[in-house]
Amino acid sequence: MAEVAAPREQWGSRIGLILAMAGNAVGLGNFLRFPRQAVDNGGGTFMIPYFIAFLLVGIPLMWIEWGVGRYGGVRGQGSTPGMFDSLWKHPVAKYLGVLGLFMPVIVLIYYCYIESWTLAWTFFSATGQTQGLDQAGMAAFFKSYVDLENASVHGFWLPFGFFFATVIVNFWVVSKGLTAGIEKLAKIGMPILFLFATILVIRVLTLDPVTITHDGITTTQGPLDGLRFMYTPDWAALGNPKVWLAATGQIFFTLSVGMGSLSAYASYLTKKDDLTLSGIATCATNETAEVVLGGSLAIPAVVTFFGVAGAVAVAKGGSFDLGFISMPLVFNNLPGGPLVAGAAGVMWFGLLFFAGITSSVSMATPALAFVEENFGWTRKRTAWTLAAIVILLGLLHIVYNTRGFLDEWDYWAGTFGLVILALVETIIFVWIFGPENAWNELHEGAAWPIPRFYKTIITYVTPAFLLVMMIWWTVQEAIPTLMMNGVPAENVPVKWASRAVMLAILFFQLWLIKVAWARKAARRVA
Amino acid sequence: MDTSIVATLPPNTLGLNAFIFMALAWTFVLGLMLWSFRKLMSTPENEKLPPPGSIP
Repeated sequence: MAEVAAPREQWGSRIGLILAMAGNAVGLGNFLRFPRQAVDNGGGTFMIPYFIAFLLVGIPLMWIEWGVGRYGGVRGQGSTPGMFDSLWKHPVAKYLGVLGLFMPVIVLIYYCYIESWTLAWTFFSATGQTQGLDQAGMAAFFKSYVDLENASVHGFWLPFGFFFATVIVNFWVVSKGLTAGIEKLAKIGMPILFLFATILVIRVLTLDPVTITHDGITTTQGPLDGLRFMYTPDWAALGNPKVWLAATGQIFFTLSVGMGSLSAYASYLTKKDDLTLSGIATCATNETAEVVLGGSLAIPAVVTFFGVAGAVAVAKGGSFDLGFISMPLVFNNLPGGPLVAGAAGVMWFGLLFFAGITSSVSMATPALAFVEENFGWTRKRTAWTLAAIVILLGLLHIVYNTRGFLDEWDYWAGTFGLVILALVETIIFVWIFGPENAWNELHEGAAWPIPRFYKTIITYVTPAFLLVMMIWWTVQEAIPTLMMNGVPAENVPVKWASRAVMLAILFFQLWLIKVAWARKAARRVA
Repeated sequence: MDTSIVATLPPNTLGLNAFIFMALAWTFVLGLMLWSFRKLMSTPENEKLPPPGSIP
């Protein structure tokens, strides 16, 4: 192994950086999770805690991640172990940084699997395989793909093929490097995503009302009824703390904060680059994709063709039922026949694929940066090694998906872990590094001064929000999940195996950090 | 989820309350995006050095 890492790349342009950052944030959740959360948590009134959380937690955390990332980046550190070590000269700091390596790698592995569904359904839509199916047929078509024990429609090997293709595309992009790979993907993928979503929103919102009969009741409903269903305020929800936590959680997931990938991207900035305004532009682009486009697609479309009662039933089935069963059924009912249905399906799953891939390439970045910088591996070598790991561990998700293997990873790394890392990096950056130093760091090269009151918000309000969220989730979800409450007995061994694999990855990464710092110390002595 | 809210108005109607919330939400995010991008575009970008090794 070579001892000296290659010089750090820089973003090619400001617009490329913002599109890549926004691509990192815009994911499947913008189009599938947000509408369900809004409907489930008070409709229009959900937007009040949602925007308060956006202003008090989302934007400050975005700035904190950018600040942590650039501070580490200008010191040659592209991942959180090195970033935290730069900010806090304490032996434990680098080990706390393992969270910013562990979570993106864990999420990347199962996210690539889910992303491969969108690639598969783009293909199925283009080839007309989802046309002519009724609701039961569409559900069987989906179940056959995600549950290998019932793979009667697609056969056993197809999910492996699409997963393999998805991983190859992802790592081909990241192996090209920052500007030629990730930035180029964002410049192509994000405009396509917005174009597809805009076309679909226009088509959905201009649908004629449809008369349907559900459970013996005949109603006529159109897309505006779907928007009314989603936005009509339920004032009682404002007094419910669960609604506030759901809104804060949604802001958290949608902006991809607490993952370590935003700070990895920000590590490629220079001291002259703006953080403040670019951070807001990233947040606002993500929110536009979520609120304006994501909120106007699935729910209005499903309400039009299945009625409110049907939409409620779909929402209870989960985000994937909404995206992979109901939406293809909606497209089959669009005026214009199979050609329009196929085109709409390609646009819907195509935009989900671009939303997914622009996020997944960012999740690979912290681990790549860590290995390149600390072990001197080339970008290509690191990328294809990680690709092999993703493929190997991804196979476990494909085989044991319906046994809860993926759910464990999604909960501990993709949900609970995000709050932990966000809290840790906020404490290190704001309290240990110091509020004044953090404030000054954010304003290096700033194109816009952050209003002064945000200093108080970043110092006290954001950490308090995170602490409350962590305590609430620990009591409400983490402890029952840890105890496997309600898990069928036959799934318990799989869930334990899932946890064992996660722990093995965590300890391996901790060991890598130990080795990397030992090598650094040896180089200093030499 | 209150499913009765849709049945009380004529078909394909947004309703005033829902319209207000939707309009405010859209105005906020679109306004923030346009403001931030406009301000960014009016700020000169730092001149970037060419990538290391690209100059013969």
